[in-house]
Amino acid sequence: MNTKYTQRATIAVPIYQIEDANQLALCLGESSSDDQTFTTAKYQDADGNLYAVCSTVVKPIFAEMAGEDLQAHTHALNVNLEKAQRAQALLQINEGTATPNVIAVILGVRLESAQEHIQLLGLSAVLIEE
Amino acid sequence: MRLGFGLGLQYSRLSGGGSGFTPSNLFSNGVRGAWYDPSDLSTLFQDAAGTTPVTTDGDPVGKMLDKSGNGNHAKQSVSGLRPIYRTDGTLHWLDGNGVDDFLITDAIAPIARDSTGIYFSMAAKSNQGTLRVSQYNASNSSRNFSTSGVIGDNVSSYNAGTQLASSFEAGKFAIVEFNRDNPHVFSFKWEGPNSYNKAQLNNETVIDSPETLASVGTFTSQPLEIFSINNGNLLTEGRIYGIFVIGDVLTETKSNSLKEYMASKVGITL
Repeated sequence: MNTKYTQRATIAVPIYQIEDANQLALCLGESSSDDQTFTTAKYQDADGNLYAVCSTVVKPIFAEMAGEDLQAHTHALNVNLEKAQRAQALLQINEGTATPNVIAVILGVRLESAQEHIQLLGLSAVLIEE
Repeated sequence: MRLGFGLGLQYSRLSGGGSGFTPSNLFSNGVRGAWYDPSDLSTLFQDAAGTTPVTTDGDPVGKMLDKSGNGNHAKQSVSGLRPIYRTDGTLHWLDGNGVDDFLITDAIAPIARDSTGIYFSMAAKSNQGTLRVSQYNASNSSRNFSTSGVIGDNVSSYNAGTQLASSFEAGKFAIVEFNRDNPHVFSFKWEGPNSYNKAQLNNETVIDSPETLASVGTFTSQPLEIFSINNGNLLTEGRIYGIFVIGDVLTETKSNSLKEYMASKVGITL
């Protein structure tokens, strides 16, 4: 038996889009806690713009759902669809590096490395003190 | 084959650990702690509620049951932050991506205590940095235990032990550097007030901290975290094949048996 999670998606959310992006995550995800997907902006681009990043395995339906009309699923009946739709409008899948005015996504096969995806997004980690 | 949760199998006959070694006995008589075993699929679930079992290579892990009997089950309720179950058909591990993956328990009573010390053992392979596991208070106002690390170009380093009230002060913790990508068993112990943090990488003693640790500060209830410290604030990328956190001072015989058992989990011979 093969896993249904055949792809890896790495999503870079500009710091000012985190609230909307979490509502989109609630729509596209599988848990009622998915509005906490994006929290701290721990990555930055070459210009110092900050991003919250999530990298996760996904089912192929993820890309289909990302392009369709959003719905409130049973696990997320309280989702704010207006915010989710605003975030959806910013999605760019496999179209280049992260910039502050888009939500850039690298979508690849499941065994691809999250770290490699982050390089493709043009991001690096912000150093955090232990 | 799915092994049942909590079965008292004599693992020595299956996969190392020395004659008659039974890991669950390490937690008999009310010993606190946790035991996580990714090779036991009956303990892995895709969701935090524990309703959808992990069945195959590549499934996300939203819940990993604690096999110690203490009920310290580790969960991740956010679907995008879940580590991945991986297997090559022989070995079994959790893959943490170093970006956002981690598992965490509810706040639990401190495993490290003055009266019992702590023994920690992890079978691991780090891709970047050090495999972090902790029961840690971010405010540093209390003591708990932590493994953390520094990300270098070619090496990883463990910084592990029982924390002083203020921080892991220089010279008072256990630290060791090792080649990245080497599968290994990392162990450390602290035997209570006025003892040292001691650590081993496989069978090599890599540190006796130069100063004993006085009993300073309060042990408080904190979550136990896997792949992270400080509630997912610091994460690392790599594989975890098994974890024991034991609120007890192990005899050398038991310690050696446990290391041998963990070595079998990571596919090495000590």
